[in-house]
Amino acid sequence: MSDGDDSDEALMLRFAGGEVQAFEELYRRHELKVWRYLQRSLGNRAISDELMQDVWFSVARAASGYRPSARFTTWLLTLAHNRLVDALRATRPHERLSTVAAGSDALSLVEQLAADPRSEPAERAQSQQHAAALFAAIEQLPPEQRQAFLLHAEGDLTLEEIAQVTSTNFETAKSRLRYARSKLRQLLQEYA
Amino acid sequence: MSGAHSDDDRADELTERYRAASAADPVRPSDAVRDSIFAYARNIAVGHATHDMTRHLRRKPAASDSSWRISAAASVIVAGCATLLAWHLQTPTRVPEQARNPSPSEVAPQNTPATGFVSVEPSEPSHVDRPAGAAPAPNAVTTRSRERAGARAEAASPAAHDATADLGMTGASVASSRQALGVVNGSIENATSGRSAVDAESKLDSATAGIQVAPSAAAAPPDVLASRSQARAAAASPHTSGAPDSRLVAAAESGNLELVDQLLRNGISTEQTDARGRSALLVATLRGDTAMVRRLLAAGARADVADEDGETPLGAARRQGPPELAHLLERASHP
Repeated sequence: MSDGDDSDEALMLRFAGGEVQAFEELYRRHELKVWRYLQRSLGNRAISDELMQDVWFSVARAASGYRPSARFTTWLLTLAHNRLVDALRATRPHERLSTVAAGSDALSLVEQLAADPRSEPAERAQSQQHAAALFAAIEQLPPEQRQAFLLHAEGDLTLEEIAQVTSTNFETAKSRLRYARSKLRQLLQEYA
Repeated sequence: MSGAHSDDDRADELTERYRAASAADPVRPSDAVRDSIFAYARNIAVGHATHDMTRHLRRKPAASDSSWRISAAASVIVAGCATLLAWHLQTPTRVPEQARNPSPSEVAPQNTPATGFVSVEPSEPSHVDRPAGAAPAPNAVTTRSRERAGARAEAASPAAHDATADLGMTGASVASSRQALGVVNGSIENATSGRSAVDAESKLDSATAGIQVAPSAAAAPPDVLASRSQARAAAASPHTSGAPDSRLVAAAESGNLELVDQLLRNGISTEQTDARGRSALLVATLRGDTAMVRRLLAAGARADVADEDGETPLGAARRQGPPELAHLLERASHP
């Protein structure tokens, strides 16, 4: 948590006082963090958009009763995680798998990375391969391990916070993250 | 609030690779999502600002603003007098009706009110079984005048209507308050023109006062008293009014352990939630009420049930403590 008047928690309290700009600033800070966590966990952009909306609506609604007793990011990702779990329960496995298998989002990412004008052709091709391999490997992880890895890598959460967000204990969060890293390394070696 | 990384969760080479790839990813949520979120936040912010203003007016009325209270009180007194007068004028015409006990359609032309006052009595439910010799149901003209009074009150003060709903008044009690509003609305508006927030509050007070005035009419016939008691019972019982039963949540929120204990012994479900989907266990956890949490867990309350915002008792306890509470809920979640 950053200090001063511009901390996430201070912005939230300012929004609770009716200052819309504070909410917009808060959204800009955490937009990608939340959305990528949802999108890379689900592999479906449309559902991620819906959940994203739902999460931020909840943030807006909760502002009046908000008490900064935990890091805002942890609280925000808890909301996102709960929505994600609900969505995973509601989605039939074959629907989710078919979306992931189609790889539409991953493919567009690869194409966009390849089209990045800042990169040299050789570098571009390499970064394209690395990114594609990494994201494909993440998709192969079991949901709990994938969530632990994304919360850590994307949300920059500690193990303690991951345990809090996923409603589990420290040791479980730790082993999930360890297994996730181990499996990712193994998958990336296979791709290489 | 902890944000420090230990050795176990420090970012490794793999995490750095992911972050680099993610930072280069230009894919974003759609603009439509962002626009709808911002629009929603603006609406909420307006609500916050309005709420703050109303709260300020409620807490710190200026000394010169107290005149509206006097006007409102005077209006309620006038309404009470009007009610008493209306009862006195209606009572003699009911004697022959009681003797021959005609059908409501026969009575209609005879029971036309002699005055322009609107009674503050609650509307009588049509299914009430009347004792022998009791007065019949109000005739069509009386009913129409009551409906008009209710409609006027509703049209003139939607805020007061909402407020009565918030107070938990239903059925006959709401009808009663609307009628009371119909009588006092004009004078209140005169006294409070230009102060909409204060106006809404005075209407709310008047509506509540109107209900308190009605039982003081000692001359009211027994059937009306019976219907009033039924109306009160309907307002007090969420089961009969069709509203969701959240007595356990309310009891937990008030910290009344005895009442919670009594409700649980009466078989109230611990799964009961309020309008925001909060369970009694979540409310008790948010209050940090360990004794209440223990009692609810002992009754089988679940620690992983989320409210509309995705908040669970376990999550709330971990976030805001005390640690003992979090430990208690963890043990309940993973026995």
